[in-house]
Amino acid sequence: MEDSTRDAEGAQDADSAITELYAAHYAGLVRLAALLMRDESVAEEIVQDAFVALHRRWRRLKDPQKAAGYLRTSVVHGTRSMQRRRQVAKRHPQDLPPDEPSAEQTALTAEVGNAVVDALRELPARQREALVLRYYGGLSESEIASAMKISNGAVKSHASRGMAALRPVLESWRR
Amino acid sequence: MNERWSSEEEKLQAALHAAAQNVSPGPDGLARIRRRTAESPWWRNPVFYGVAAGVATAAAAVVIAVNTLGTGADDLSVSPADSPTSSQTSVPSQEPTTGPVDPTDADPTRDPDDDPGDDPESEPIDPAEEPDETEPPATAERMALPVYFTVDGQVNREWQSVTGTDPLLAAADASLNGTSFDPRYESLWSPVEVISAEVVDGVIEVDLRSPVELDADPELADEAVQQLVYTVTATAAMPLVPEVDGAVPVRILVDGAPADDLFGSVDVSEPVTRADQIDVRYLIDIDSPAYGADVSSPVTVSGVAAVFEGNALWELRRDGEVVDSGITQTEEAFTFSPFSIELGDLEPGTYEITVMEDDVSDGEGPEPRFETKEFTVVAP
Repeated sequence: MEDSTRDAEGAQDADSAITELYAAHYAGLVRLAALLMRDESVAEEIVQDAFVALHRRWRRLKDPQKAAGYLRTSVVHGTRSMQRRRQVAKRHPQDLPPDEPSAEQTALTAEVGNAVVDALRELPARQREALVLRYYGGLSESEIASAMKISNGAVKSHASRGMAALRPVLESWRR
Repeated sequence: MNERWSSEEEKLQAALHAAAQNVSPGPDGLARIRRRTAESPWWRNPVFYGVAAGVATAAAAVVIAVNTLGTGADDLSVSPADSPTSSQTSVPSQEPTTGPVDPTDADPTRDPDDDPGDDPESEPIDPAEEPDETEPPATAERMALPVYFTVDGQVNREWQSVTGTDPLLAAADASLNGTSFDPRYESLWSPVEVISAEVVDGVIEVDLRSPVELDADPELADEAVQQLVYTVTATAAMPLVPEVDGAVPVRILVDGAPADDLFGSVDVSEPVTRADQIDVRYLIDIDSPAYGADVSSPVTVSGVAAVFEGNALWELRRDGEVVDSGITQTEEAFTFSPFSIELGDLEPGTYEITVMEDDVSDGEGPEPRFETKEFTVVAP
């Protein structure tokens, strides 16, 4: 019975931690996901998946301080796998499910973007991730490295290649 | 913090923030997360998940009842013993005489390679070679069945001990409506009545009662169909179901009539075959110990994995601390192939074994796949 008591407490911890993390990070993470995706309609879903996954492994998380980083990493990973699935689906157009707007989609009314974001979405995924995490997320190189699960050096090179590709459109962009 | 940024960098930052401001998350995000982290309806509730979700008193210890009265042709007992709230403890094997199934018993063979349905490409294993602890049942009896659920949208197998007279029906029902022991496993289906599942002219015919609905991202519709197809084809390959092997196709009917599609997107007008497991199956599957099992020392972990160069990493944890770790080699590389890990003598207690892919891409590739099983070593 001791175990179940401990488990129950753990679950309560997880629930209240999720609520706090939601208040602090949800909107930011949805925006991050929207910038990373070519199609922002699933941004909320990806972020919700990340929270659910965190809740599930809450007891195994050694350091609750790392929860925000874990969420960020899951979101980056979630956008990657969503885009992979989309690419597969594109190759099999007959398998495409009907495109029904979800409740979340209608909430995301305004189009995310401008010329810069459009150009960003044409970049290879790693370059886009490095740039978005740095210039939208305001993360340090090491934080980006851990979110993308790559080395600091790789972050640097993805970011600088991405930046070079965006240079022309940035020159002509006006706020 | 950005005093050293160039004007280009500042422009990029401004452009990204301007775009991000256009995104307003919907109002119900937390409610949606809560709904998914709260206790699921009892028929979908994995045995430990109720506890983890804070519902200690409702933990369904008895996931699968051994229904000794079940002699009717359609009588299955793949269901909680009494009611969802009837049991009080979270340890499935505390009362072994009253019916909770030790999941380790679920696999009579203990050898993952004994699921010939797994690979339609390879030669089907002669059913006669299977250990013969499970003869075709005349009356309701306990059967160990390969039941597929999913992890990250990919199918993964759990051996479950089910009592009934009809292995195909029991397995289909356990997969679509049952509960997994492993809390990470989930069904992609909304609960649905399986009217019948039988072999007809070399095809497994599964009849479902409408409504037949997906409980997952619409993009996972194909995987959901494969969850059912893998389950019934693997079951058909068991000696319980004579005369067919695991490579037979599956015809899906809805309300007794042929269906054109499922979930509005998956064509099932023709019988569906198993998709190549490298496309749809989760790459790591620990068969034994089963999640939550009581085992005696020494402990051997066995399963199937498709991993780079056949290398899989493993870690044994106790109370969150790694107490042992190593690398195991599957028999063949890059394809689904058995592995086995000798953990040796372990003192009584609860452990977690995790087997994971070696991340050879050094972080450049997808997140490494892993499987974790919690088990308890009991004193002899």
